[in-house]
Amino acid sequence: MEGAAFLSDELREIIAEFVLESKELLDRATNDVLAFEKTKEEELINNVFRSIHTIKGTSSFLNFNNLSKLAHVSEEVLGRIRKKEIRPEKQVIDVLIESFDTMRAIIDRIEKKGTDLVEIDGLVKKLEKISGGENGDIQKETSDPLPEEKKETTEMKSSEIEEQTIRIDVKKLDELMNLVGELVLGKNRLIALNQNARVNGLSEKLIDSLSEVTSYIEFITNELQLSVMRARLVPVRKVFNKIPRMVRDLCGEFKKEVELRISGEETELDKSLIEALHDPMVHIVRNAIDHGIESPEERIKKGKNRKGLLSVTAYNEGNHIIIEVFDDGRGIDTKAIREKAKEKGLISDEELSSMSEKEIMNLIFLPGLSTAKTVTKISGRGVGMDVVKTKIERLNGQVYIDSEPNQWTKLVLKLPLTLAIMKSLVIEKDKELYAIPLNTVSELVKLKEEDIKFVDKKEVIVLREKIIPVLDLSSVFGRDRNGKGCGYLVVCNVEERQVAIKVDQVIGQEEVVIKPLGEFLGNIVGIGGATIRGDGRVILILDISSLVRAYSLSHQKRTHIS
Amino acid sequence: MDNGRILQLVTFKVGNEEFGVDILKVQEINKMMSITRIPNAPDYVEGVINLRGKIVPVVDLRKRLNFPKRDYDKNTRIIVVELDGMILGFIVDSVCEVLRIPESIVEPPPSMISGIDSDYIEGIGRLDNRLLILLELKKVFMEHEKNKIREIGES
Repeated sequence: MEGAAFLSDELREIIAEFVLESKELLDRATNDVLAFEKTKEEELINNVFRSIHTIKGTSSFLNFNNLSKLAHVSEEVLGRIRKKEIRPEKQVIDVLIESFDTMRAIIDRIEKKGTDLVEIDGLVKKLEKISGGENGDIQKETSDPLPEEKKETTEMKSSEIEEQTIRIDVKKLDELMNLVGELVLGKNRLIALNQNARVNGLSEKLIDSLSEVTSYIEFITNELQLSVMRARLVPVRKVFNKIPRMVRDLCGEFKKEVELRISGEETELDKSLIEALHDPMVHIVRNAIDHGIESPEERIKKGKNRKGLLSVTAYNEGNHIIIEVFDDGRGIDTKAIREKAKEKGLISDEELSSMSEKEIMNLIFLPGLSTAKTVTKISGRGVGMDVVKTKIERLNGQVYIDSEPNQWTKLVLKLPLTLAIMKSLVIEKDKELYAIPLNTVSELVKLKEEDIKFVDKKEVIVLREKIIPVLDLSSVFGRDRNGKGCGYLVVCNVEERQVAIKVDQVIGQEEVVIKPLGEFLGNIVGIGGATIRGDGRVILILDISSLVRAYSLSHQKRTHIS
Repeated sequence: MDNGRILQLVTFKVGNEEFGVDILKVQEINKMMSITRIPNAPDYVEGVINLRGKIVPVVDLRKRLNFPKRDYDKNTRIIVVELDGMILGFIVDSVCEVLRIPESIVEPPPSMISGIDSDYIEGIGRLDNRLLILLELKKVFMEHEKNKIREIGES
C-alpha cells in the first residue's frame, strides 16, 4: 500500500467503508471493555472479542498488516481473559485501551494517507507479554511513551473530519419512498387538470379539483419534509458513547472518583448537530470532573458519598432536545464570579448588583472568565465555557447553568431537532420584515409608550414586577424610525436573561428554512441568517443573543464580538 | 501582450464609463429585483436577493466605485458572477453587449482614472474611439471588502 493515490475507485470505496465500520467497532469495544471492568459481565468481553475479531479479519483481507497484527495480539489477550486465564486488572485494561487507541490512529492514517505504517512493536510486545501470562511485569512498561504516533493520535482527534455518510434505517427510507410515490400521483393529477383546463377552459369544477390537488400536494410536501428531516436524525448515543472513556481518563488525571450515569442515549438529533456536539461535550464533562466534583477526601469531609455522581441525560421537549449534565460537586461560587468579573472589568458594578444569582452564574459563559484557581490541560484557561456557548449558539441552541453551592451543578443544552428548519415569529419593524426564532420568544406585550421607563438612560419596561431592558431594532440597525402599526414588545429569553424587542407589527408564526448569508457577508451582528418567504421575498432571521451582546456591550468597553 | 488571444467580455455601463468583465465569470444577467437590505453591512452592499431559492449578496457598483448616487431605472441590471465558489451580484446602470477583443489592445492601467481606484482595474481596452475598463472582479469584491467587514466586527 503505497498511498491513496494508487488505489482504484472500487478499492477506495471498500476502504472508506472499512474505516467507518472499524471506527464504530472500536468505539463500541472501548465502551464494552470499560463496562466489563466494572461489572465483569461475560457477555461484554465476548462483544469486545467479536468487534476486534471483525477488525482483524477485514484488515488482513485489505492487507493492512500492522492493524491486523495489533488486532490479533489484542484478540489473544481478550481470549485469555474470556477463558479466565488472565485477571482483568486495571493495567491489563489500560493496555487494551491503549491498543484500541492505536488502532484508531492507524485507521485515521489509513483514511488520510491510505497506509497503515505506524510503529506498533512496543505495544505488540506489551500485549504479548500479557497474553504470555507475565502479568506482573507490565506495570512498569505501561508508562512507556508510545513514540511519535501517540502524539499524532491526539492531534488527529481534534481535527477529525466530519463523516459524510449516514447509516439509515430501511424503514425510514421506505417511508420516504412512499411519500415520493404519493407526490408523483399528485403531479399526475396536476398534469391531467392542466390538460383539461387547456381543452375546456376554467370551469368551477376544475377550480375545485385544482384546490383539492393543491392541498393534497401541500400535505405530501410537508410529510416529505418531515421524513427527510427524520432520515437525517441519528441517536445521540454517538456522542454519549465517548463519555465513559473520557470519564475514566479524567478520573485518573484528576484523582477523582466518579460514578457515571447516562440515560436517553436513544434520543435522536440531526446528524450535523451530532458532529458539532462532540467538542462542547468534551469541555463540559471535563469541567464537571475537574471543577465540579471534589476529591474523595474532600467529599468525605463534607459528608458526601466518596464517589461523585455525574449524570448525562438527553430527552425531547417539543421541537427541541435537551441535554443535561448534572454533577453533585461543589457547585458554582457566585462570589468568585462576581470578583472575577469586576477584576476583569467585564461587567460594571451597578449591573453586577442588579443581577440575580442565576444571572451571575451564567456569566461563566463570558469570554475571559474562569474561576478556576489552577490551570489544567483543558479547563481553567477561561476559554472552555465561552467556546461551548458559541458552538451551541451557532447551532441555534441555548445553554445555561444552574447550581446550588456545595450541592450540585446542572448544565442544560437546548438544541433544535434540526438545523435546517426553524419555527419563527415574523415581525415588522421600519417596513422591513424579520424572523425571530420562536424558541427564544417567551411572550408578546402590547406596547404603550407610557409603560416605557428609563433606567440609567436606557429604556426598560416593568413586566410583572420584573425590569426588562428594551431593545430598539431601529437604533441597533441604524435605521430611521418610520414604522406603522401600534407596536408590540416581543419578550425574548436568552441566557437566563430577558430582553424586550420593540416591533411595529407582529405578522405571525411561520416555519422557515434557514439559509446562510454566505461567507462574503461574513458575520453580521444581530443577524443569524436569512429565509425566503412564500412570496419569494428574502427576510432576515435575527440572532437575539448576539443582538443583546452587541447592545449591552455598546454601553461598555467593547471587548469581543464573535 | 501580443499572443493572439481573444478576450470575450460582457460590457456594461456605470455613469459614463464602459466596463468589461470576463464572460466566463458571468453566470447570468437579471433585471432589478427586490433587494433585502442588511443592517450593519458595508454601505456598498445593497443587500441580498432571492436567486431561485439561493440567497445572493448584491453590491452596488456605483457606490463601490464612488460614483454619485442615482435611482435605479428600467435599464438597471444585476450581473451575477461566480468568484472562488461564491455567487455574488453587482448592480450596473445598463448592460451593453458581448464583445470579442484581441488581448493585444489591452493596456495596463494608468495610475488614476476618473476617480476609480486603479486597484480594481485589470487593464484598459482601446477600441476605435471607446475606452473599455476591464474590471478585476476579485479586487472589487474582496480585498477592501474583507477589511471593512473586519472593521465592523471590531468597532
